[in-house]
Amino acid sequence: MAEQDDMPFYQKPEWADVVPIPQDDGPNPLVPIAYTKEYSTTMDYFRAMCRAQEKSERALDLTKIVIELSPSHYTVWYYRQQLLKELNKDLKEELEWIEWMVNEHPKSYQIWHHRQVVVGRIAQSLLPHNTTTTTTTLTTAQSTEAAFSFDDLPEAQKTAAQELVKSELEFIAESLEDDTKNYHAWSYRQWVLAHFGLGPWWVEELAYTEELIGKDVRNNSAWNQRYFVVTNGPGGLTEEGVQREVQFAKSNIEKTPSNESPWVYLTGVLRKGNHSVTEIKEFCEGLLSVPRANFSPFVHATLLDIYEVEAKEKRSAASVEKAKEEAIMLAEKVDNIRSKYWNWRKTQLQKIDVVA
Amino acid sequence: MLAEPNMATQPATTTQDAQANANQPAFQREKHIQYFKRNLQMLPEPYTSQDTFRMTLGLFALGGLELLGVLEESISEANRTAWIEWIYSQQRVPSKDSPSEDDDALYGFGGPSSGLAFQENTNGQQNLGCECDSHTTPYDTAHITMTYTALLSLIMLGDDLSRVAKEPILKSLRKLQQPNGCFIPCITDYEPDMRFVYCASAVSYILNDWSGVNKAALVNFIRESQTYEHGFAQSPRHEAHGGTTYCAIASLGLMGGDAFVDQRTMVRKEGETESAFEERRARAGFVDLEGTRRWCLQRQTTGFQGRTNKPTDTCYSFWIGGAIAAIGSFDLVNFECNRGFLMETQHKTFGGFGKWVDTYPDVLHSYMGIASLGLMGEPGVRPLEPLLNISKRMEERLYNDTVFWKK
Repeated sequence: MAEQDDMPFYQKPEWADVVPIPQDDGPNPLVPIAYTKEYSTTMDYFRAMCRAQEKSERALDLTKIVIELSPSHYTVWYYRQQLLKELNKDLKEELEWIEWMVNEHPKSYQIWHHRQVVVGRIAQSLLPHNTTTTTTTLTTAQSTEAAFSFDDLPEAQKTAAQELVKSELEFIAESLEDDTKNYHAWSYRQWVLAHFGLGPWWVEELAYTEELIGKDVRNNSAWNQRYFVVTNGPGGLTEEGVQREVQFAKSNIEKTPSNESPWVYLTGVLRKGNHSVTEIKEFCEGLLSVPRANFSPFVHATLLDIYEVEAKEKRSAASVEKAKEEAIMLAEKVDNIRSKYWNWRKTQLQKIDVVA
Repeated sequence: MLAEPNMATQPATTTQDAQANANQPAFQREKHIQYFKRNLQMLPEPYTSQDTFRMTLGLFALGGLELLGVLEESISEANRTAWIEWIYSQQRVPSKDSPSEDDDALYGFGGPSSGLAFQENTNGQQNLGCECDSHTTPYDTAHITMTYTALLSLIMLGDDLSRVAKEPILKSLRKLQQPNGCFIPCITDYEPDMRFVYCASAVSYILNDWSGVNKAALVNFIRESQTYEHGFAQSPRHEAHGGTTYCAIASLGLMGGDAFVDQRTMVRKEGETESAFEERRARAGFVDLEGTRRWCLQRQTTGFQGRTNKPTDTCYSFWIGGAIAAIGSFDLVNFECNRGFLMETQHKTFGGFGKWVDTYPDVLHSYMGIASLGLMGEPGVRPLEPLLNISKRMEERLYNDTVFWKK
């Protein structure tokens, strides 16, 4: 619907009946913005539409213009969502426009949330009893955790819903190619999987995180997504899952021993599976004789944690000594930006009750 | 009063630190003062895309000058009172004629872009804001972030908050809180996330009244948002992030009491039953405070990054630095590297701070840069109170000079 002519919309005859409402900023406003005339006039017309709560095609067109000028505007998206509903617009077309907008403004909270609303509505329309979830009193918000149930859906609707999820995951993956760590893209991806149920997509999503980690082992967002997948899949994190993930993390640590992501993932998985960090002592000590790994702050920090746990459990003075050595190594050699922290850790070690 | 963590806010006094600072680019204090003054007078056109969030931009400009110790001398009395009127004019209040318990309006402060008429003092009647009535639409809604920044801006301008309609704001907070404890910002934006948890907490603290907030649900949401990395995410299961970590920790700090407790190191008190202990555990906000401390400190590479393996950015010196200060460990930060990074992100021509080196400044990063220096006791910057992100001087003003706190 891109207009090729240069005439501003408000000069066109179809807008002649509208009385624009200027912003009333008072005689001496705080931090006035140097608006262009085009912007302030556009907003004058937008205010008129809002005041009248007009539900029309021209109002819909205007929301698009306002959004493109001011994507973080906190009422225009809602107005557009009301209009899409009232005018019974094709939501698939809306998804195409959102895709374009996401490319222009990938870091806008509102654009991603709008997609969520639209996808939620498309999904809703597939359910057998199409009840309206948005209320007119505006007092209750849509739950973002509402699970979409595939049970009892006729075949055609079930397929349509699956296609919807598939195309959303593809859309997000494409967007992530431009910025592999876009927080909004990842949050939205989790919403899609949580809303429709991770189960059917569990295997694929696990493979997706592996693919992204393979491309960039430092992509912490991909590691976080992997944790989400392995802990929220069918049956949760099993013992078999723990072992598999421990291996996966270890092999990535061996590739990049000074990369924080697999280290914190490894200790996170161990903790979640109720395993002690001491179980990876051999692995960490082994890395000390690997030239690249010897200077990794994470090898030494993890060993410090391990020896500290051992010191407390066995009340061992020898373990305290080994822990102290790691703290000194960190403070003085391999992680000296955090020397104050590692020295503080060293003083904490003195407090451990040991058998002489 | 806020729980007093043992923050190091003394200026760098050791010979080593002073020497290190001398080797860095200079702190362009005068340039920053001019930067904030210019923006206070008028924000350039590129800020149009943030139009509805003008209240936040006003706070950054006022706050920047206040932290630099020059706010009162930089603003004429005429501007001071006029800007107080402007802020109150953004307040949405219930109509005196038909105060309805069931109405849909959202009260508090919003932006001027909705077209509501500017309220003036007329016939000696004080401007109390715009009354919401049958002509009010959802598009006139207040917004939780504007409420929070309006309150702080009023304090900066020396107002005593006596015209703030507290009960309607608290009623609106109840409307904005979600079943899982999180908050949405307004009735036209159903995005729940940690940023608005902080706004709700800050508003409640400033109004000295937590009856608008279900604290138990709030703490639960915060605790559930801790990740395996021990930072806090925007929502449960998302990635640990500096901004949301600050919002989470500062909210717990503002709530204080049982919320600002570490589950991991809790022990049953003498005489406490098992079930009472479990209930107390459920009210604790931290899962593993030591892990959180570690995650926050690990974000420092020179300045601070917001997430693991991401680039540093000026504002995280505040978000992460403030979080570290809130948990009482700011003395463990490497001041030299942090300050060195901040000195590099100052803009040599315009003043202010950009997010990275050689980046245009904006008022948010400029404020955060100054605030971060305030945490480190930089000469020429007022010491910062990290939980409200204002100077300690403004914190005192909240307690001594505003109606919801003063005795």
